[in-house]
Order: sequence, then C-alpha cells, then structure tokens
Amino acid sequence: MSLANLPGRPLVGSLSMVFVLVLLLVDHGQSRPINPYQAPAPVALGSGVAPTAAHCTAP
Amino acid sequence: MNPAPRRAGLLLLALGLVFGTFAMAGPRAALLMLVGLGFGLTLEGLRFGFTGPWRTIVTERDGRGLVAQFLAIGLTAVCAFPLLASFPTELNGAHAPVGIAMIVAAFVFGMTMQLVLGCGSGTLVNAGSGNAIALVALLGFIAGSFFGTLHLGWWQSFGVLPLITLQDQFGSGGGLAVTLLGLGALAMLVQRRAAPGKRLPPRRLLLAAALIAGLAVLNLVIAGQSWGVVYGLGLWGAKLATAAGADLAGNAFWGAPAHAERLVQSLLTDVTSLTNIGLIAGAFVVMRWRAEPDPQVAPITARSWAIVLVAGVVLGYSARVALGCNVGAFFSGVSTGSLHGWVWFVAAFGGSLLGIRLRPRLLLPLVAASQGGGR
Repeated sequence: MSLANLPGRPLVGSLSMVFVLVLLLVDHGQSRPINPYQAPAPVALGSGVAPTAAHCTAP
Repeated sequence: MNPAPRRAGLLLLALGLVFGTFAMAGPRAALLMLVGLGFGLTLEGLRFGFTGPWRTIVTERDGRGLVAQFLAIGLTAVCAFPLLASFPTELNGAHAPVGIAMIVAAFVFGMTMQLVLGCGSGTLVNAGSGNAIALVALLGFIAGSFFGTLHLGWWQSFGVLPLITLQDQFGSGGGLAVTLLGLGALAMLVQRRAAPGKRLPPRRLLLAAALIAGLAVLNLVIAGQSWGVVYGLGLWGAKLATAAGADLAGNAFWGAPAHAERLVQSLLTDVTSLTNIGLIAGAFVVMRWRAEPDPQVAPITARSWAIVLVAGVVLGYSARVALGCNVGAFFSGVSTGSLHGWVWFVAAFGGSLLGIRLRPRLLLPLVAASQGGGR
C-alpha cells in the first residue's frame, strides 16, 4: 500500500474497532475488576445519588 | 452480493456490545453504550455534523446544517433546563468558567477542526466510518487531550472568571428563554447569510436534530451529566500511558481523587468512554450497513499526513484546555445554561474561519503535489 492507494473504508473502520478492542483489553489488564454489587442505579434521575462521573467541563 | 448476512452480523455486533457491557458493568453502562450507539447511528446515518456546517455557511452560504445544530441544542435545552431545576442533586449541567486560556484554546480548536474536518464527535464518527484521515487524527486527539490534562492547572492560572450560568442570572425559566432567544438570534444571522434554498434544514437534518436532542437528554437522565467526548479521550490516553509505564500519581490532574479513581477503574464505568465507544461502533455499523460504502478520502502527501497527526494532537490539547469540544462545551454547555458554552462558540467559530483558509494550504492532495502543486 502506498500513500496514493489508501485502504477502503471497511478496512479503516475495522481498524478503528480493533483499536477500541485493544484499548479495552489493555484497560482490562490494569484496572480493578468491576464489582457488579456496586453498580450504580440504571438511571441517575430518581436515584437519589449525586453524579460522581467526570466531565470535560470540570477543570 | 447479498447484504443480509453482513447486516445480521452488524446487528449482532451492536447487540453484543450492549449486552456485553451489561454483563460486565451493569445496566447503566449498557444504557450509556446504547445511547452512544444511537449518537453514532444518527450522526453517520443522517450525516449530521458540526464541522461541515461551520464551513459551508462560509464557503457555500449553506446554513441548513448550522440551523439544525441550533435546533438540536434548543430542543435539548427545553428538556434540560427544567430537569436540572427539578433534580439539582442528581443531575449536573455542563457548566464551566470562562477563562483566558479557555477562549484562546477554543479558537485553536475551531481552527484545527477545519484542518482535519472533524471536531470531537466528528473525529470519532469519521474514524468509525472508515475515514483514514480521521483515524490518524483520532490517535493524535487522544494523545493531545491527555497532554492537555498534564498542563491544565497551569493554563487555568492565566485567569478564570467565577462560574456563570444563565440559571443563576435569570432563573431556570428565564435562563431557558435567554438560551432560546440567543439560538434564535444566531439562526436569524444564518438566514441572512445563507443563499436562497440553503436556509432551512431538510427533513433529514430536522429528524437528526430531534434524535440528537433526545439522545442528549437521555444521556443527562441516565448518566446524571451532559453528553461529553473529551474527558473520555484524555482518559484513554492516560490509560495507555500508564500501561506503557508512566506514573501519573504526582500529576495535579490525575492525582486528584476524582480523576485518580477513574484511572484505576474500568473504562466501562466511565460515562464518556462508554458513549465514545458506542459512537465509533454506531458509525461503523452504518458504514458497513450501506450497500456501497462511501469512497475513501482523497490521498494526501506525506507532509500532509504529518500535519493531520499534529493537528489531531492540537485538537485534543486545545479541547482539554478549552474545557470541552463542540459537544461538551458548545452543545452541552449552551443547552444546560453555561455562559462558557456561548463564549466557546464565538471563539471557536473565529478559529474555524481561519482554519477554512489554512486547510487548502496545509493539506495537499497527492495528485496535485506530484504535478508540482506540493511543497
């Protein structure tokens, strides 16, 4: 493959999905196991719990 | 070739993603993955974007996409303002302070997003739909938003105003009215600029705006916070850096309890990571669902590829310093009453004007370069 002959969208899209999969595998190897008994309520609204997740607007 | 087996496989992929997330991380994570998939399906399937309309209103006097953006934000605000007022302890708006570095970074973001033809959500959607430039830009975006976290405190030291929200200034109903008036005024400006026949969104974009608004409200209701993109990408960068041996405990950002916790917890428990993954997957599903995928982007010179990678880094870095991209700062900020969302839009649009002029000079098609057009 040269710069003049880029792979088609199906291959590049698949590479994006593979990247996500690799990321999740790397993350799985270094993160704490998820405790299903500490999973939050399905929906924050009505849960009575303040959100603790991070957001890009938070410095 | 019969597309049925391929489409069945795509349905299985989407279902597997949702149910796999449910099995591993619980119902909220699965619902957020579903919302992310919805964003990806809508943005790619109905070709709703942010970067393109910012360009076409300038270059082609086509205001249809921009009006659709304002409509989506307005529809989200109509639901988000009362929800935030009624459930202040359970739901958070995308509120951030206006600052000097934030304004400059938003300008740089707007400029750079025109270079790679993708913003925060756009880069994810384009990468998922197989755009080669976007995949390279995404890798840069992840690195850049991680680097941005390392210096965020320093940038904030340049001066930051107190947090200002329209709810605080005018009350919830008044803040919503001011938001809708502001969006309406912007839509009127677009109407004046746009050429006849290019002023009102077609049915496709109206549907997309309604769906995006619905998904954004669901994101708020399920996660307790507004739709965002950049935090997740910075976290991905931090995770990869940690895996490569970096110790981030001493960094002011990643050493803070909230971020340190995210660093040791699974990505499947991080709100923006879940919707980001869903977004990429949704766009991939749409691209593969089509009988004929769109053609790949035109080849560019080696130097242009390097520029794309650097632009991706700058895009991520500036998004982090600007306290959000077109999604977290503009879409979610404006729709939940944050003044910084409006300031971000003005600064980023100014940068976008510059980026539109720079792109043809920096990103050169390979054919033109081989014919003597390159540098």
